[in-house]
Amino acid sequence: MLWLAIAVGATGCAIIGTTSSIEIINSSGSIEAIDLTPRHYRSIEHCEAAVAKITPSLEASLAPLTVEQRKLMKWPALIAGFRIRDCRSFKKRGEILSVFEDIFSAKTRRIAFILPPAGGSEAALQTILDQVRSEFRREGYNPDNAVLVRRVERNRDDALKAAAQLIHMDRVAMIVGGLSPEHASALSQMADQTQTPVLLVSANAPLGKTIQSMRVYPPLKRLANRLVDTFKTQGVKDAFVFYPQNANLELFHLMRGLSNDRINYSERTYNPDKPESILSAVKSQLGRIGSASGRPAVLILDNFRMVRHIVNIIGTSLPSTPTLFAGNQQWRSPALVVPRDDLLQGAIFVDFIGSYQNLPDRIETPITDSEYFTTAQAASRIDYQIIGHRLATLGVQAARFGVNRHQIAKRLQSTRNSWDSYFPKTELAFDVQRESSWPVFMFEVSGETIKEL
Amino acid sequence: MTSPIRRTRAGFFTIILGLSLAGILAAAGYLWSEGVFESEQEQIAKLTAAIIPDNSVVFDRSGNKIGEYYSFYHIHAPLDKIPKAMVNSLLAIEDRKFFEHEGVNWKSIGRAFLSVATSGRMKQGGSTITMQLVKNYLLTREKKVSRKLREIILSYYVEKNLSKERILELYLNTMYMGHGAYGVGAASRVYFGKPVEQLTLAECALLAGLFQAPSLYDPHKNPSAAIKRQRIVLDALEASKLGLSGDVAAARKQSLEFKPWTPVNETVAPHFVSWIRTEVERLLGDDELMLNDKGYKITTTLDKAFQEAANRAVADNTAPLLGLQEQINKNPKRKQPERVESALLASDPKTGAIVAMVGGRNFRESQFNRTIAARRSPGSAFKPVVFTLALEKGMTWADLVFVSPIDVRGFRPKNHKGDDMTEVTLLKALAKSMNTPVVSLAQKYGIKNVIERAQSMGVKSEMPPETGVAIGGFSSTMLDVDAIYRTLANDGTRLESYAVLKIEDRQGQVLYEYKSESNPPIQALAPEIASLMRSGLQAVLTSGTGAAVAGMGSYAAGKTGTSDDSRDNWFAGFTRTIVATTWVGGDGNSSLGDAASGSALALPIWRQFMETLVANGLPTDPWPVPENLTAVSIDLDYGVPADIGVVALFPKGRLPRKSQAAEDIRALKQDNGSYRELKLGN
Repeated sequence: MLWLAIAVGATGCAIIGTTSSIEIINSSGSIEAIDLTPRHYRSIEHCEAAVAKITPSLEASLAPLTVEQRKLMKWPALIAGFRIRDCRSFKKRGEILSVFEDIFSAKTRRIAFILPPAGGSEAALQTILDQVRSEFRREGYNPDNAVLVRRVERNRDDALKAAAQLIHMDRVAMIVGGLSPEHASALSQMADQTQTPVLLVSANAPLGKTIQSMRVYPPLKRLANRLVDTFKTQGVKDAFVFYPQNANLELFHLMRGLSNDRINYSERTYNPDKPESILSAVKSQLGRIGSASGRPAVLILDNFRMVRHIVNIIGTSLPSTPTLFAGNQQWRSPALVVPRDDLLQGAIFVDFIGSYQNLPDRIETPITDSEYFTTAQAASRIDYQIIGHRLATLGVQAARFGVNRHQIAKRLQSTRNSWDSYFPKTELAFDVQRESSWPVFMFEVSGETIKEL
Repeated sequence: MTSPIRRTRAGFFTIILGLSLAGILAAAGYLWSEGVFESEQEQIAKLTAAIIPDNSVVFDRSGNKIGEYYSFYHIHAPLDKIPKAMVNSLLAIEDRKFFEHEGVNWKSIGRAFLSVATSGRMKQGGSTITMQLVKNYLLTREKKVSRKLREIILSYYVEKNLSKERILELYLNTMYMGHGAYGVGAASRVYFGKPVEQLTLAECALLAGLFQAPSLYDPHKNPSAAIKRQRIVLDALEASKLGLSGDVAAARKQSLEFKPWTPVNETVAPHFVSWIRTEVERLLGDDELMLNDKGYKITTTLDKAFQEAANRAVADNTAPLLGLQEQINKNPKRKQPERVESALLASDPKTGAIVAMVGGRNFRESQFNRTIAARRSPGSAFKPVVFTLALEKGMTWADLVFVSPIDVRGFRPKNHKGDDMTEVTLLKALAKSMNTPVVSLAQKYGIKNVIERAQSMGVKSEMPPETGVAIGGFSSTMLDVDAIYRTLANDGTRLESYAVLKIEDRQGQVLYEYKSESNPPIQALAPEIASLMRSGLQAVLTSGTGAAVAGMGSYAAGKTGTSDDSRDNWFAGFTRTIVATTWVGGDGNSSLGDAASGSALALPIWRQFMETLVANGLPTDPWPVPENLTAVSIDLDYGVPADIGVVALFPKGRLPRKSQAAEDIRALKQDNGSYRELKLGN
């Protein structure tokens, strides 16, 4: 029995479902909770309010489908035929309830992926898909049936259409996507309209208004927070940021936001293929690094190779400046520390992977001399495998919940990671901002290796 | 019956003769009154004590003559070494009565005065050999009766004080014989290219004819006149009652071969010989020592065969230099023409002895000795100094070095082919002569330490405490560069270079002799480091900028050097037994342009020199691998063991191994720099 609570909101309002109530974002933008226990639902007024607010959203979610596709489903026609006055008939109220229950339940074990056409990050996407399929298989699900993949052009309408099909026709339990801004926007909208959980694999795409959209992506905000905390502890007042053209700057943006103006950031970009460009970018900051008040930090958002080059340039130019070099997971390689570079000693970087020995056993990890390093080929693969692993465990867990589709998000957001050995067990699967919880590690260069701080 | 005219003439001549004798007596009186005779003993002493001038001669280490120092070209020939034919020819044409008169042949004198009386001029000298000697040795050349009178008197005294043989010996050794030669010893060399002892009668006769007018009868300039004069001498010899000392008829028929004469100073090792003069002065502690004509014997370390190979190598590779020179001088903005030069210096690493030295490509055109006097930037040839520090600090050839763009107070070294931001093994950085890794290493280990290391390896030129020193940015000599490589070739032990083995005076007294005890070996580097470094320098040949001589890589090691803006082009290399350094550059320090990069100019000279030595038996044994080192073939880019790679030595405790760091770099390069870069969802 599905109990709905409906709150009146603006046109295209969102529905936030629970087993006992639904929260609606009203016209003023605030969330309004309405108790929709069966007793309340038996009330004609409640039924009328539900029909008045739910049907436009559902109709909007059906809009991308063709007439033929709609004809294949019974409830689109019913929704179209619903009238507020139908609530006055007890029988009709029962039909309405049945249709809503059908729409929002979808107790399938299917997880769908809406992905851009092949190209670009294809290898990464395939790695994620392979990991999901692999883990589904190990859990006893046939991945051919349980994992649906839709390739969609990077435009919003196509993404909406694909999502509508997956939600209304294929009856998937959740959708993974958002690898382009258009896709992310479409999926968030559909999540809000249909109470379908959506897992956005994106660093910075905005989540929808409802709890149905969640982010499954390495924890940039946590990484940023760890770096900023360290900067503050080290007395850093001026941080100099270097990154290549077309770099993902989300981490840096988050850091700046978290610094609350206590750290001044000065950034320079360069063309990684042109040494002169790098030298020029670094040189333009040398004077300021050398005269920084407090300990200057240099944040390098680039791979270990470029880190060594930039550190070389700065170190040879400012040998007596106690610069704190810092970076992200791109630093992590034996090539960062072998051969030893005195200039790099004490440098720090953050990562969402700790010891490679502690990875989920479903991720094959080549053994190297150090638990903190793996092969270059494996390192990038593992990053995406962990994302795939996270998606798979969430999908499997959703299936295990055995709840209606609209309840999955709530359950995921209220459960701890006990079912996933890699993620912090005591933490909720998602935090209040609906970001998937990830472990965060900080490493320090020490001799010819790194140590975990 | 005599005619009245004849009687009148006889009377006239009698009067003239009487007047002349009266004049002589008057002159004698005048000379007496002037105290001339009081100084005769003093004058004679000059001759009796005369030391016949003799060139100081420079020999190579095997006793081959390679140079001479002289004011006038002499080769002292003792009388007993001078062929009888020479002596007799001389006497026949100059002074047939030499052994009969007492210095003056009065008949001849009489004829001479008669000549003066009749013609008013002194047509005939009437001088004996003794008189000519006196005139040449003690008097001026003015043609005055008073000088003649004095000549007569002094000749008389000379005869009283010196034996006839001594007078002859002095005469034969001191008289000018044209073409810069004094004495028959020198003339024999100058005209016939052989020692005087080996002269034939025909040749002796020709030389004898030169005493009268050496320029007129100069065989090189005027061979027909010389031959004509030789015939006169032979005729005189035949007509004299002197022994013939050979078949005059055969001598007349003998075809004389005049050999063009080039002073030995200009043929074998001119720059070396020129330098040795100052070395001798230094060793004898006498800056004003006049070596010329002293008859010293100076035995040097030079090896004539090596020197000739060096000369040939420089000469054969001059054409490209001239082409380059022409090209440079085409620039209309040039104020002074450039001269593109080359030089070669070779030494023995085990002793420090200099065995070959070519100070320039043409001594006649330029006497400037570029091996010792030119102060040039050694460029990359200096880099091994820095690498020895890195090896000493524990780096191995397989270690990766990050080549980052560098700007040290405006000093921005560049690498060839734009490798300004990459990572290479230490071995590749050396083999490909990359600048920025070396500068980084120097910065890391300290410029002060680099300079001290260079000094310990033998660099004597001043090095400023600046970063540029690491890549040879200072003025050095070839001796400095030679010292660096000699130290490496000698297992890290430095010996001072030297060039003089022995100096003897003309009496055979040893004035100086090189003693190895005075050149104690200095251990500049641990032998292990020297071996490691040498193996790296072998890789330069097999797989680096010296690949033009890759075939020598099994027994030779070396390094190219190009200074800033390609102003200097070097190659310094060595085998187990020799170190050779070659240099090409403009005297005006012009950029040689792209042509001077890498191994274009200096290496071919080095190559030809070494190939010649090897063809002539220079040992080509490979170096033994020291017990504590192991030879391993590695990938030049990543330093991991590789079946097809470059061989270098490694300490047994630090052998190269499969490196994840190297693999990561390789993967990163192949993946265009993408590594754990999360770009999903952007």
